[in-house]
Amino acid sequence: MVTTERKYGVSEAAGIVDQFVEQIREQNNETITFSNFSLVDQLLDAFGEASIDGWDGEGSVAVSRQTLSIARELVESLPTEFRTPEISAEPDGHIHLEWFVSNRQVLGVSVNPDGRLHWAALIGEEDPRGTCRFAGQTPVTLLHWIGRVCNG
Amino acid sequence: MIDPDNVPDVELDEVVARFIFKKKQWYAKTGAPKPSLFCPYKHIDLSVNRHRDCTDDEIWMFGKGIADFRGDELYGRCDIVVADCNIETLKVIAKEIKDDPKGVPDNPNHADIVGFPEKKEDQMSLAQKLAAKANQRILPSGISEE
Repeated sequence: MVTTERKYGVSEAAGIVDQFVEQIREQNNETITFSNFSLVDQLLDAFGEASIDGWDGEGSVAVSRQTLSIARELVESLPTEFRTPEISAEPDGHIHLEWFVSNRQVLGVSVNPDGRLHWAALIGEEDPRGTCRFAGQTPVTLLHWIGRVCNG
Repeated sequence: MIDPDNVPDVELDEVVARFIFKKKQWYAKTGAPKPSLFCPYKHIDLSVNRHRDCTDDEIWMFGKGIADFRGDELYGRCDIVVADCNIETLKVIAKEIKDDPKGVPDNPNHADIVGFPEKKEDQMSLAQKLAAKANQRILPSGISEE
């Protein structure tokens, strides 16, 4: 008999995380690449850390399943030739992806529960920013700025 | 610390600290702050602590007080000169905490970075610029890196 070990605890949030891991495994047919796996791990950490309201002081908002799901799709759509971002939860319940080369070569993308991606970059003295909608593929604008940050 | 009965305006050459309560708010490799440390939430103001008239122990005492109030760990602080905070719409103003109804500890050295715009991407951009100007993480006194 095959049993699934619950790795992330016994709470409802932990159950969601377990389901999420299982889904990823099925989708990837157990052939998750190291870099993707690292991103999934980071997503799970972020979700686990921010699974209840108030997780980052008064008024902070839990990351919803909807936000987690959008962030997962975005992460899976990222091209593998660039360095992987660092992922964390934000107090407003968004999930944040950050590509950091130096403090003047950085891109942040904030995943909103309704599928909008707020982004800002600092590249030398340039400070482009904007909002775009995620529709299953990494938006072209973001690909451009990820490339600029990662490739110099 | 600053005399609570005579809190002076913030001057450009003062240094303020942003306390760190989350592990993911600095880069482990370099100790540089992540922009998220300077991204405001909810109040669109960002709390900082003025060094003015403070001993190092007093600075940490304020940080520890907030950490205890929040039920968080204090992982350190990043310092930044006030003049470097005056980016675009931002400025630093004195905002003493006294008799807070929610129980936030009194702090005559408390200040806010105010003037953050509403749009998330504009806030993120300013946070990146503040992080680029801030010093590396300083560990709380008596604590060594793991």
